[in-house]
Amino acid sequence: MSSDLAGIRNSGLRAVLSDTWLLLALRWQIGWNSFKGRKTGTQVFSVLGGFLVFLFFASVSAGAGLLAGALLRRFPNAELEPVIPGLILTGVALFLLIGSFGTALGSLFLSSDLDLLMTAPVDRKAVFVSKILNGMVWNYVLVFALAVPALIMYGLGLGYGPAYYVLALITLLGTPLLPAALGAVLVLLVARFAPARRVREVLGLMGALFGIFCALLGQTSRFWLRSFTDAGSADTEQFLEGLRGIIAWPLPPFMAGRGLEAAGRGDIVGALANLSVFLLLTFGVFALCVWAADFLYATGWVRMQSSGSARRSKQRADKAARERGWLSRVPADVAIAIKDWKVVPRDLRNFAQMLAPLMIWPIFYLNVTAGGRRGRGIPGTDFLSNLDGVLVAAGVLSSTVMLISNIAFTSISREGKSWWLLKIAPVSAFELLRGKFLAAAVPYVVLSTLLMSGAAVWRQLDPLWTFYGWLGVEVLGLGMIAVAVALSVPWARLDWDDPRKMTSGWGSLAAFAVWFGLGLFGGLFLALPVFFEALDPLLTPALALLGLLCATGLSAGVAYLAYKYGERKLPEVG
Amino acid sequence: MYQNSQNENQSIIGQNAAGYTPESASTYVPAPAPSPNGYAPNGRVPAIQAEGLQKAYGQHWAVKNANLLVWPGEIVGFLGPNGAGKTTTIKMLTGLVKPSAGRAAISGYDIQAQPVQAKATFGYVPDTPNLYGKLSGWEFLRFIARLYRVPTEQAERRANELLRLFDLYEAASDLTEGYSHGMQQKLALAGALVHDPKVLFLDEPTVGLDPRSARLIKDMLQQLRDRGTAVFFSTHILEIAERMCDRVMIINNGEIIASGTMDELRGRGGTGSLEDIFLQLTGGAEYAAIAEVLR
Repeated sequence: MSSDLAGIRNSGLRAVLSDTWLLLALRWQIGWNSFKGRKTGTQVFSVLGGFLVFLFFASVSAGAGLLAGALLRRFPNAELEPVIPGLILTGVALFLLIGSFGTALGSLFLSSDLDLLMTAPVDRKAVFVSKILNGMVWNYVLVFALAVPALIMYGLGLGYGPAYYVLALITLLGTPLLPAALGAVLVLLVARFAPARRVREVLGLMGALFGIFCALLGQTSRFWLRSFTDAGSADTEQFLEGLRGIIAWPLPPFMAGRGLEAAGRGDIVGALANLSVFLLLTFGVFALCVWAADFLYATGWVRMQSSGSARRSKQRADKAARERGWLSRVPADVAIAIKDWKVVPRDLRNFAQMLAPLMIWPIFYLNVTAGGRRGRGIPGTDFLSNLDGVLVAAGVLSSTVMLISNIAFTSISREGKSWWLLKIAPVSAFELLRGKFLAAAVPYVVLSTLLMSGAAVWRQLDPLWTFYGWLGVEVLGLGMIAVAVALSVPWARLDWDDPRKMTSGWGSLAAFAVWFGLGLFGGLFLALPVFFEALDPLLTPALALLGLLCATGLSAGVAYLAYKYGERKLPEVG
Repeated sequence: MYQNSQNENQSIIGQNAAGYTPESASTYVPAPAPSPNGYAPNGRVPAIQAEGLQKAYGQHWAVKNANLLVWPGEIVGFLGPNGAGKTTTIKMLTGLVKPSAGRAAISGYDIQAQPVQAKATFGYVPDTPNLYGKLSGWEFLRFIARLYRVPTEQAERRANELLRLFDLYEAASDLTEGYSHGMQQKLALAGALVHDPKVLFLDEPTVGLDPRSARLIKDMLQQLRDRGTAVFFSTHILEIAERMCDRVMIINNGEIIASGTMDELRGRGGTGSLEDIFLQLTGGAEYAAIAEVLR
C-alpha cells in the first residue's frame, strides 16, 4: 500500500500554530458536544447560574475598583496609583496559576489522550500548547469577571483617559498566558516526584483549606480591621510605604501596573515601554515553557503516568497479613461501614469535599451555642427558663448534621465505579443501607456527644437537661442521617472523578424538605417540657418522656419510610 | 430455590432449551437434560440457566432471546464480535443489569427473585476491574470475605494462598490504586475466588495480563473445573477458547447463533479452527477476504 503524506505539514511555527488550532477546535467541539448532550433544563440552569455568578463577582470587583479609585482621588498623597492595577493583576495571575496547575494536571496526566496525540502526525509542541491553552476560556472568564470591572471602574474613579482603557484591555488579554504556561511546567516538575492522582488530591485539599482560610478571614475581619484602624499614623505611613515599594518589584504584573498608571496620566511613552516589557516577558516565558515541556517529555525525564510504584517488602507484607483488624471479623453491614471509614479519609478529594462545611461550621456552632444573649427565659418568670439548653441542642444538631450529611448524602455515589462489587455481593438492600447508615451515624453520635458535652460545660447547663437535650439531638439527628442515606440512592451518581459531582441538587433539596419537617415537629415534641414547665413543674418529667417518645416515633417512622424507598430504588442503581 | 420463586409449574429451561441455538438445536443436546422443574434427572442443579433472556436499550436489542445452560464442572467460552452482547449477557446473568425479558438462575436461584442466595454462589471478574483504590490488597480481600460471610480463619488462609498464588503477596499492603492493570485484574480474580464459588463468571479474563499470569489463570480455571466449579467466560482470544473450553457459545448481534463442543461446531459444516468457524458464523469471513486483497 502506498501512503499519501501530502497533507502532513512540516515542522515550524506555522505548523505549530496550525496544529494547535486543529487540536483546540477538536477540544472545543468535545466541550460543545458534552454541553449539547445535557438536558435542556440543565443547560439553561448552567448558563443562567454561571451568568449570575459572573455578575456577582463582576459587581464586587467593579465596586472595589471604583472605591479604590475614588479613595486615591481624595487622598492623592497616598501615591498608590500604580500599585492598585499591579495588585489586581497579581491577584488574578495567582488565581489563574492555581487554576492552570489543576487544568494542566488533568489534561497532561489524568486524561487518556496524550499518547494518542503524541503519536499523531501533529507537531509535539502544538500538543503541549493546546494542552496549556485547554482551560483558557475559563481563564478569560475569570479575567473578565475579576480584573476587567475593577480596572475599568478604577480608571473611572481616577478620571483616566481612553488610552488607559485600551491598554488595560490589551494587558488583560495577555495576562492568562503566563500563569497557564507556568502552571503546566510546575505540573511537570511536581509530577516527576509524586503520582499525579495524589497531586490532584492534595490540590483539592489545598483549595478547600484556602477556602476555609478566606472564610475565617472574612468572619474575623472585625478583629483584624480594628487592629489596622487602631494603628497610629506612623504605622499607617509605614504600611503605605511598604505598598509603594512593591511596585518596583520586577514582576510582570507590576510592570503592567506601572504602564497602566502611566497611560492614565497620559504618559504614552512610559506606558508603552512598561507594557511592551510585560508582553515580551509574557510571550517569552510562554514560549520557554512550551519548549521546556516538550524537552522534558522528549528526554523522558518526566513520567507521564498516573500512579507511582510503591516500595514493597516481605516484612511489610507479613505485618499486613498479621494485622487483621476489625475488618476481618465483623458482619457484612459493619464491614461496609469500616470500608467507608478507611476510604473517605484516604481520598483527599473526598476529605476536601467534607471540609467545605468547616468553612462555616465552627462559627455557626460557636455562635449558636456560646454567642449572643444567654437565653434564660422571660425575666421574673419560670417560662422558657431552659431555652438556653434548647438553643444549644438545636445548634449541636444542625451543625453536626450539616457536617456529617456529607458522608450520608454521598453514601452510594461514593462507591463510584466500584459499585459493581457491592451490587454482585450477597448482601440485601437493607443490609447495604444499614452499613451506609452506620458509616455516617457513628461519626455523628461521637461528634454530637462531644459537642453537646463541650457546650454544656461551657454554658454550665443542668446535667439532667443536657442529657435530655443529648437524647433529642441523637433521636432527630439519626433520623435525618437515615433520610440522607436513603435519599442518596435514587440520586446516586457513580460516574464521577470530581467529588463535587457526587451530590445531586434535587436529592439535597428533597432531604432538606424532609429534614425541615422532622426538625420542626420533632423539635416541638422535644420542647414540650420546656414550654409547659411554668404551668406545672410536676408535669415536666412526664412531658419530657412523652416528648421524647413522640420525637423518637416520628424520627423512626420517617427513617423507616425513607429506607423502604431507598430499598426499592437500590436495584435501579448502576 | 429457583423453581419455587415465581411459578412452580413454569420452568425456565425446557427440554429443548439446553444448549439451544436456532440452527443447531437438533445437533447439540447436552447430557444430562434437565427436568421441567430445573433439576437434572439425577438431581444435579445446573450452574447457570437462562431462558429467553433479553435486553433492550431503547429501540436497540443488545441481547435477544438468549437461552443457555451450563453444568457444574464445565468451562464454557462465550465468543462474539465487539458489541455482540457478551458483556450485557454476563451482566444480566450476574444481576448487574436487569433483563427486559426472560429469566436467569445461578445454582438454582433466580438472580432477580432470590438475588442474595444466587450471588452467594458465584464470583465475577469484569473486563475492567474497578476496585477500591484506597483499600490495600489485604483490606480488599478481607472486605470481600465479609460480604460473602466467609469464616474469618478460612478467609485469612484463603486470601493468603490467593495473594501468594497470584504473586501479589508483597504488594498486598499497598493501596490498589498503585497496582498495574494486570495486578488489579489478578486481585479482582482473587476476590472472586475468596469465597470458593460454585460458578465463576469472567469477562475477558486474560486482557492486560502478562503471559505467565495468563497461563496461571488458564491452569487455575482447569483446576476449578476439575473440582466441579462451572466457569463461564467471554474472550476474544479464540485459541484460549479452543484449548480450554468444554463448550463454546457464539453470540452475534445479540443472538446466540451457535453452541456446542468444538467437534459439534465442526460437524455443522465449519472447517478447521475455531477462528474459521467463528468468522464463518459471524460474517467475519468477508473481512478476511478484504485483508487478503490488501496484503
